Amino acid sequence: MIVVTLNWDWWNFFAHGSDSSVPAQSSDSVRTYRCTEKNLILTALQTGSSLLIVSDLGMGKSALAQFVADDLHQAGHAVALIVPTTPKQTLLDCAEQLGAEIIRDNGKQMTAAQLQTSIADFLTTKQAFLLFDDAHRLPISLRVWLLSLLDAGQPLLLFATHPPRKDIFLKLPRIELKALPHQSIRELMQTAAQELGLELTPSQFATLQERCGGNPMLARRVIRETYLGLEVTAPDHTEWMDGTPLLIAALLVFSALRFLGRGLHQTDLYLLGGFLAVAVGIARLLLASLPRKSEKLGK
Amino acid sequence: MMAKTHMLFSLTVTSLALETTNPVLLVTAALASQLPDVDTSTSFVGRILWPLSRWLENRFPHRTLTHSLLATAIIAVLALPLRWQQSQLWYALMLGYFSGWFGDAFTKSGVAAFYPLSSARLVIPANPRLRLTTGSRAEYVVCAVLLLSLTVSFQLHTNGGLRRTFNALLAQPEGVTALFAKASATHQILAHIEGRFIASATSVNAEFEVLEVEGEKLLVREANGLLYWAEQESACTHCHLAIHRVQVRLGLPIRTSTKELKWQEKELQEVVGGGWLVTGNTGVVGDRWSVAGKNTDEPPANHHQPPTTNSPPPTTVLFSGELTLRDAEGLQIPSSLQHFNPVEVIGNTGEWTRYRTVRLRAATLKDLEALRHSFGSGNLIVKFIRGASS
Repeated sequence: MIVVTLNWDWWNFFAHGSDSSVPAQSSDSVRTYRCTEKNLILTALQTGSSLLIVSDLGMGKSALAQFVADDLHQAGHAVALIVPTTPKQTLLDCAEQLGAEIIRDNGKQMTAAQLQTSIADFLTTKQAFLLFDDAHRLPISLRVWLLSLLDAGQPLLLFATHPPRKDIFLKLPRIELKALPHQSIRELMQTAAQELGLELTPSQFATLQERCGGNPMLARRVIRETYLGLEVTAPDHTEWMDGTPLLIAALLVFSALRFLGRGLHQTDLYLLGGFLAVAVGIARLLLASLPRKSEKLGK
Repeated sequence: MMAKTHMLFSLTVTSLALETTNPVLLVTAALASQLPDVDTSTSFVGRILWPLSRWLENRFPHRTLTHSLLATAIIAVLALPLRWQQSQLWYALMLGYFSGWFGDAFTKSGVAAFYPLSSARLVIPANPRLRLTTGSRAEYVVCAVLLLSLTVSFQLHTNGGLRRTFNALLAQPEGVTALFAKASATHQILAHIEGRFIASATSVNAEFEVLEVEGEKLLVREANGLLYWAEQESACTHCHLAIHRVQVRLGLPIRTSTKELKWQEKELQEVVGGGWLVTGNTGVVGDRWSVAGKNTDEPPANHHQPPTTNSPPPTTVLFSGELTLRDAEGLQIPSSLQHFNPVEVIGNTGEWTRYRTVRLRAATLKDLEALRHSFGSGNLIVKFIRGASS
């Protein structure tokens, strides 16, 4: 496995730019850009601690989960990497991956409750790690079951997109995945372009990268959109800062003219300041009345 | 944003902020507005500075490093020598650069204004559907609005600025006072007054030249040379002209200078007409009485050209102060209630009743004609107003 350090290699960056990326690899790249987090997670799990990994959509949680599962496998541990579906199917999946019993003595498949007990019994006899991707989709019944496993000392690793502030999500120590640095995003884009046989100039990469923020999923998506020749849509990343209040605040400084006018006994300045204050007030009202950003796509 | 939108935005901002139509400043701002786009080799400035743009675009997404407050601060520091040499040029450069990238906050992708502290993109407004797409029809509408704003800004500043225009709308004496304080040393200040003469109760609608300002009171000169104290009609108690509306404008360019004059026991003609008006410090040659010349009895040249003429205003010399004249008991200076008298006998001094004290205020040589052969002492401030090329 090739592992590239997440730390910013400044010298390399300034000397060679992103052209210095490693040779092309598949999009299910065997590289991870979250090496620090991965090592932290492995250490935590192997010392019996549980963790919750949270981030925005597309920030690389699933990839990180797969890397952790692979590493644990390689180290000879029993691992179950589960993506929640229905409660019973989730439990079945978990039991199958661990090698726990799923068939009753009468030859029928176990019920959900029986599967929970079976898995719990298995975990008391053998050390194993439970990894849940998309854990925010876990129903309450499974979350309660996981809490009981946690209380029994079972290490858990949950990956969730903005989970609610309750039960197991609140109880687990948390790591928040930050946006990837620009250089990593550029490398991902270059790799994705190469896979599609798409030749882009550095200028095109720089322009496309505007729409990604530090989100690796979006980095691949913008390349695919370019490949398909689609129209540019509004960027979907979440690294925004609304400058409207700043602009209004800056314009409000004009109101100070009124006080200057009054202090200096200059009627025209006083009146002009008053007019400008009214204009800023109207601008503020208009800006506040604009429709807000829709949370739905394509609106 | 397109290069032309950046250019128009920075031109408008600079013109409004610096209150200027100076082409050097505006061209500086327009060029500076293109600099942030050096981070892409397809931009105008990126093609010129392609080694830098290639280097930047290989490392940074578009609109990050060069579109940040950090880059603005670096440019501000690097250009500091310019600030000490020509501060206006420095301001134009900085306004141009700042508005060059700040305009991109109104586009769909925004700008990383706080890079490298944060990669978050500054956007206005928050809804991406309401932000601009480069080259879209909406951007051309913005261009048109900016062009209109720039035209309005030019119009405002060639007319004396926003405040003057605002004062013109208000049409009150405060506007005259403000413009007089700002520009009386360099330009004639002309006031078009609608109002009435107090003494005769006749209405007036004419242009006057503003000579002095005292609080809200204006000392104005009519085209025929007569002076009036003019004041807003609600406050006009000791004035000659009640103002209903007044529109002020800049007249022809002038140069002014003053000189203090003191003397004891001399004939006024000797003091005022002796050639001293050829002043060393200004080079102004004022109209004067020629003492030894053959034109001694000729009245001085007419200083009261109508202020609306386009010819350069002739040099005017105005005297203000007090004269104490001996053997002047018979001195008679006609005065009028209708207008202000620049020369006024204000009383006797001490036991010597043959002495008379005469007060001068914005008096011309013509006004002093009656005192020409008077002996006495005096203390005058002489103001020279000379036409200058703009």
